Amino acid sequence: MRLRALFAAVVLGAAIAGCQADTDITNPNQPDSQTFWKTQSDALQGINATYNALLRLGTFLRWQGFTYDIRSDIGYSPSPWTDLANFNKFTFATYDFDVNHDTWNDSYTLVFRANQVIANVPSIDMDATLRDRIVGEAKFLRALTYFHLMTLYGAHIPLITAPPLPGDRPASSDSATVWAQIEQDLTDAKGALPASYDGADLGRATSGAAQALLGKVLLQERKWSAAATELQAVIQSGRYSLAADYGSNFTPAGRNNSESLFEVQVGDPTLAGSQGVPGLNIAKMIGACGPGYCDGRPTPWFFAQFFKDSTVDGKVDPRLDATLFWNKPGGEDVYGVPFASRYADALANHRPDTLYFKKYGEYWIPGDQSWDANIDYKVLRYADVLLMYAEALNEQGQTDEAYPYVNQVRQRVNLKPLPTGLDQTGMRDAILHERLLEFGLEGQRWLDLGRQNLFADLDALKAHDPEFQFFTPNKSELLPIPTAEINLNPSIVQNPGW
Amino acid sequence: MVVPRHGRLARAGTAVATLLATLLALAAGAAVIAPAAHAQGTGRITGTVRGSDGQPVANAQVTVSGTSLSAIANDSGRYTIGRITPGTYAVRAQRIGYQSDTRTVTVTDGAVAALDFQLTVLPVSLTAQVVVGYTTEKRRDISGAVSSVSGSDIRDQKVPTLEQALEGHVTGVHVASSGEPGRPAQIVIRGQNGFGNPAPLYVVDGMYLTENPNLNPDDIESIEVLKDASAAAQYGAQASNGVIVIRTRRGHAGRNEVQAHLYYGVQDVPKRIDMMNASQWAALTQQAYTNAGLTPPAGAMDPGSVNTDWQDAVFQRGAIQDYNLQVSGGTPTASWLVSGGVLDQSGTIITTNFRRYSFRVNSSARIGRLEVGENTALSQGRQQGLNGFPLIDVVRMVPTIPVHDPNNPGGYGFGTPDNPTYGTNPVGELEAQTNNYRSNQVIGTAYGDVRIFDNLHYRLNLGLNYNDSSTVNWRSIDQLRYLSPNPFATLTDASANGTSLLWENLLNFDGSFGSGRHRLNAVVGTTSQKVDFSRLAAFRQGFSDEDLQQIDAGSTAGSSNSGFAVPFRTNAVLGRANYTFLDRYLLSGSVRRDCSSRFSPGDRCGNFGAGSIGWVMSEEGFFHAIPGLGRADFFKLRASTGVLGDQNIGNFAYLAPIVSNVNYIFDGSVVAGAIQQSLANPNLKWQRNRSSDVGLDLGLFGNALSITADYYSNTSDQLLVSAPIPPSLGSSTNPTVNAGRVRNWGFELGASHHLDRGAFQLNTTLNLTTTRNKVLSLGNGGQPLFAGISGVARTAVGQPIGEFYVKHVAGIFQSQEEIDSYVDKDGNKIQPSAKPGDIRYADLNGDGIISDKDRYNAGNGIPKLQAGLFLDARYHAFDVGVNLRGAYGYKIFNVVRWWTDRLDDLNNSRAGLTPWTPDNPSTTTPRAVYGPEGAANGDVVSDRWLENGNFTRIQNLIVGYTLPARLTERFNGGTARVYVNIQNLHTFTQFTNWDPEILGFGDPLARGIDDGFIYPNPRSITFGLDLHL
Repeated sequence: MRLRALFAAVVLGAAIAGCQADTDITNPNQPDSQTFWKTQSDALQGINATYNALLRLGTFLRWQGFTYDIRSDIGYSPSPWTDLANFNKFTFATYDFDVNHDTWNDSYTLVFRANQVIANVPSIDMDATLRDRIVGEAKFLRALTYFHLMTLYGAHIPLITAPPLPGDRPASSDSATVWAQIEQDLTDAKGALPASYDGADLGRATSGAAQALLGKVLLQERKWSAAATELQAVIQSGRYSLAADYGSNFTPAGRNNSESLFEVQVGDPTLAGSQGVPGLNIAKMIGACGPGYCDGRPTPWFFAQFFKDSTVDGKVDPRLDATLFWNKPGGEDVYGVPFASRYADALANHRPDTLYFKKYGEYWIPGDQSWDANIDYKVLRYADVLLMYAEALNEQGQTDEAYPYVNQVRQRVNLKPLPTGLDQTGMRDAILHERLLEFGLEGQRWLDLGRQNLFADLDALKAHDPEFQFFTPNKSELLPIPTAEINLNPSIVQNPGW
Repeated sequence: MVVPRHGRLARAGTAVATLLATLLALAAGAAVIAPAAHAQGTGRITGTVRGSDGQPVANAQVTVSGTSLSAIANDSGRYTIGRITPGTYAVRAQRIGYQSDTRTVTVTDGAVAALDFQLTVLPVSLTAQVVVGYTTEKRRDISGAVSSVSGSDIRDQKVPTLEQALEGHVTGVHVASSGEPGRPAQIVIRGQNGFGNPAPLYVVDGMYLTENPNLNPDDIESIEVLKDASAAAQYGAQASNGVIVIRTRRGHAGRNEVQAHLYYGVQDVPKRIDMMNASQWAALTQQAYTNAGLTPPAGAMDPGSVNTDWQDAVFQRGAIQDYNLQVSGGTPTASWLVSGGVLDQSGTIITTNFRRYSFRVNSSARIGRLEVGENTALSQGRQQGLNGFPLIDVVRMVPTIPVHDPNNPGGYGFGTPDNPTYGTNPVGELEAQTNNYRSNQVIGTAYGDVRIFDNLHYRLNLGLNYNDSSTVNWRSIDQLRYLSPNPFATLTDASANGTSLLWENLLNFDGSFGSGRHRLNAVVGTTSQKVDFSRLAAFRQGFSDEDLQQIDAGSTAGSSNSGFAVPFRTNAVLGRANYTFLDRYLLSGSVRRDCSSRFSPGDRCGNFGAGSIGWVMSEEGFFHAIPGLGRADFFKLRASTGVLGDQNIGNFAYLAPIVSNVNYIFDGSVVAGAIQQSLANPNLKWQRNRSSDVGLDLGLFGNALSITADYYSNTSDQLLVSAPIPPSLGSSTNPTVNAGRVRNWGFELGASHHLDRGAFQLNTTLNLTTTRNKVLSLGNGGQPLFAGISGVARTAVGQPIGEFYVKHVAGIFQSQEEIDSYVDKDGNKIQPSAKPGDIRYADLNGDGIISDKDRYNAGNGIPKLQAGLFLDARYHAFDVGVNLRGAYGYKIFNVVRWWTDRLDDLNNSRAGLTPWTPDNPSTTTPRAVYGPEGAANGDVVSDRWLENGNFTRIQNLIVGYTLPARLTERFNGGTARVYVNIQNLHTFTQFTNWDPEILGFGDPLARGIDDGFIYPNPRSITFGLDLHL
């Protein structure tokens, strides 16, 4: 009996000792945040992934064309996707509608990534210059994103400047704080970033891009003098010049050209080498009917603006042909099919809306517009720097000093100089008009409407774009903060009227 | 619930009266026993208690009615009761497992009256051996909440899956089934204890399985459902949702047996939604566009000749056939069973089907003190599943679009500017795309059992679950949706491989002391699991020859490959003991310590345990003196409480992974990027679920009627939840956190009755379960969680999980005057932009505007009451079974009806939908306005889409006939039965969609939302044959 009991005890003891599976296992698939952020390669991969967030639907890939352009008076949406058409009529069935939701979420996705770089890279043991540059790039991208959030959602956005914890519920901020953070980030970036890059890094944020964006931010804040200082410095650097051919800016040939201060670099997913980096979706959504979905179309008023002036040799402003498809004399191919035959039905009905956006489309390729257009998105062009500087001067009463900068932009497209003797108001209107023609579908018009408070003349906007009959003053200037944020974050204040 | 097969006659009226008397007696506190008059005579009664086989029955209790005098029979069945006052007495002998026997005897002073008893064995539930996890107990000795279903119950129903066998038979078990062939149902035991997957743990022949094992029902010997902590605590960290213990059949000593079961049937979707035809759709669309000031699309102006009924196009008559053969046998020292089967099912939605081949070998052998055995099941499943969401598309597609259109790439019709809709052609989606799932599975266990002493065993359990599966998704070049051409053929081919190993060492004690007055049944041991899962997938787009549907035939441009491995380890030490004193005082306890790799190193281990007590009051001498209740044959009170755990979260959830290949382009070349995309919670801990239960078991009329009643309450704390966090935190996924507390509580009542009148027998089983659910606290700073379409289901403190939180539709504005007079306290119009025909929303918070703040708690998708009624009658060679089942007291949020009735978008609508017009002043349906005006007024988040979900379903109607013995006796004396079985014969419900039993692709926080992502349960008629030789 004793032997048996001993046997039992030995068996059980051996079993308990022997059977334990090792519960201390590591993830075989991915590194984690505790093992990352240790090397120079980690820092570079981190900042590259932050740039990657520029290529999200709600940052620059797709919805930018609606939030800043189609929503303004240059475009309207006849989309059969009811919610999308409603979005451009300042109306929501739900504030979590894709465009609104993606714009908010994707912007904060970029902020989260930039914050990780800014928080973790400084303590990595690596080349100090490269380390400062990477942090500077992250601050540039963060500032760019907060600039977008401010201009779309206003000051009730939460300002997050460090990687959050799951329990954080960041509170609504206020204008002064957010603007100050954006200015600070760009000031830091301006100092940390190089003026230019060698080939392999071409496309990263430069000090010039940071300074120009700082100028743009200050201009939007109507800090005219401070804006002028930054923009003047960019001009005086002599590093940038207008491309001879306006239209080339929006083709693969214009990638990172002399006019470009910062652009979103896109991939071509049909190539295996693109490794998942997408192309620009704007043309598929907003481009010509047929090859694209034409969910956004130019307003007839916008089209008409191009005819208010003509080139020195009496021709139509060439920017029209780079911006829109229209039934122009002599005809034109739209993705390999003549305009007149492709849109014969619409033209036969004399539909005034037989107008389509052309910019950012690959219209020289016959057939369909792919989702992923292989065209970089120009975030900051030198023409913008010139016109912003002119505006900053004019608003400070230096109307005469503004002329050469506007004329430089006009000259490139063969327009004659502005008539002399404009007063401040006249010059302001002239600059706004120039911006309208120069920056169609480049995300500028909504900024112009806000900065110069063109919303005040709602009747004019209704005349430009009947969608403005759905515009409610002191409400529709801003997008509603998505319901998902409001529901989950008790510290957030919804925008007025929503 | 096992139905008693034999017993005395009982009249229903008596049954009810006795039940009422019993309840009254209990309510009056009759448990405080009034002592009976003590007779002090000198008479004696003595005798022997024997079984019907003549063998003595030890430990039988012999009671003199009307007195407190009683005695326990010794091992020879002898008893003596003394000091009896002269008189004539009714004396009753009883023993658990036997039918009690009452005889009359006359006692005279100083004399010995002889009185022998003969007890017949009761082959009923009370003596059935119940596998309560690591121990096996007699049903009467169980003090926890355990329900059982026997293999014969299952086979009588002719259902293709085990969960359908549980439906309506077991209290506290909610089965939500889907009609999709091969898709296991969702089983929820006693409500939803957390915010995650509510699936219970399955233990098949000792092997732990986290998913419904989809066993062949013919192979099942028994199913035990462990519902409370007392029983489930043996499974510690994996038991918080309850445990389903399944034993498969084994051979029996004696002659060899052959069984064959086969059936064939057809299946249909029993209900259609009556949709508009082409001309009705055209008229309504014209109205909607005209009201919006728009020109209607051409298809609505002239609907043409196409008139597609999309439901006809998608639904079909399905078929099911099942063939099983089982051969078994054994000797006193060995047993064997071999079975094989084929199930083949074509679904009621076109192209869907399922086929399963299964093969099983169970065997065991005993050599001296050693017993070894194994259970091995091999199966192959092949499933063609659903593509897309056809039940949404059948209402979104308009009738003027043809199913087939040879002019389109791929040949299917879809939305056009003339007939605009963003629905996807469901026929095309089902036909032109494949969704093939194939799985090869081995579930096996092997054991060795050494009898160290007669009552002490050491047992080694080894288990294996190996699943090798593949999923192939193909799509041809085609277009199925407006503006959405698919220019490339695409193929995704994925293979997955899962291995789960179990290793257990157990020491079992089962013995009795003190002449059987003390019985102890105990186990201690260790259990360890090693789980590895890996998956490889490849994607190609662009196939020059669409007949070559293999990865190598696809273009490498745009291709992608992926693969990953998921390891999981868990260890536990466990113990359980059941102690019984005098057959009437029951005590059991379980403890378990679990360590799991899913938690962060500092919080890896957790302790769990439970205890229960029971009192078989009917064994007490005084019991039968209790008025009313004393007439019961069996009465047991029991109570249990304990703590269970939950580790049902992803692996490595406490780590924030760095995601690679988050790339960018500089100077035209790709540069590698990597970053943390999701927030992690490094302090993840176990979820703890405190579960308590009090219950009683009652046997009446010679146990012909047995009643089980329970009250249960489960409180889950430190709930593991994938908590939605504000999007401003920038996390791509929701981190898992320990947040909040939820309580579930309710009553269960089970009653079964057996009526035996010789040739006519009737078994009746009734089950009632109530469930209440309440969130006691939440993380997120108490912020509610929102889920479902537009966040319609809100989980908030003080409310049930996923309470529908919506605006209230207070009517339709009939005139401008009504709009103008709908004002707040300051006289401002509440809906100033409304037009006649628009919905009037209630300004519930009284702030003068209609906003999200006007939402209210409008009910939820958790049934308050579930009921099942099973009737099984036999008359000579005929048998009839009826199973009724229902769920009551809950709401369904009908997203399908939102699509069909919304009137502002491009869909088809329900026939008979008549929007408000000046000539048709509807009070329920607003005016039709296409576009923003209609959308602004037709908010999704309103109670307009809430419906009562109550239903009563005739789940089964079976009529069988056993062939006369003279036809079958030549075959080794076997039996043969033919039957017809109608499943889902009819559903009584007011719910307007296909099926009130919605099993969607399930967000646990959004139960009761019929988003159309369902597969209706079919009505099937099957014809079958059972042979038993």
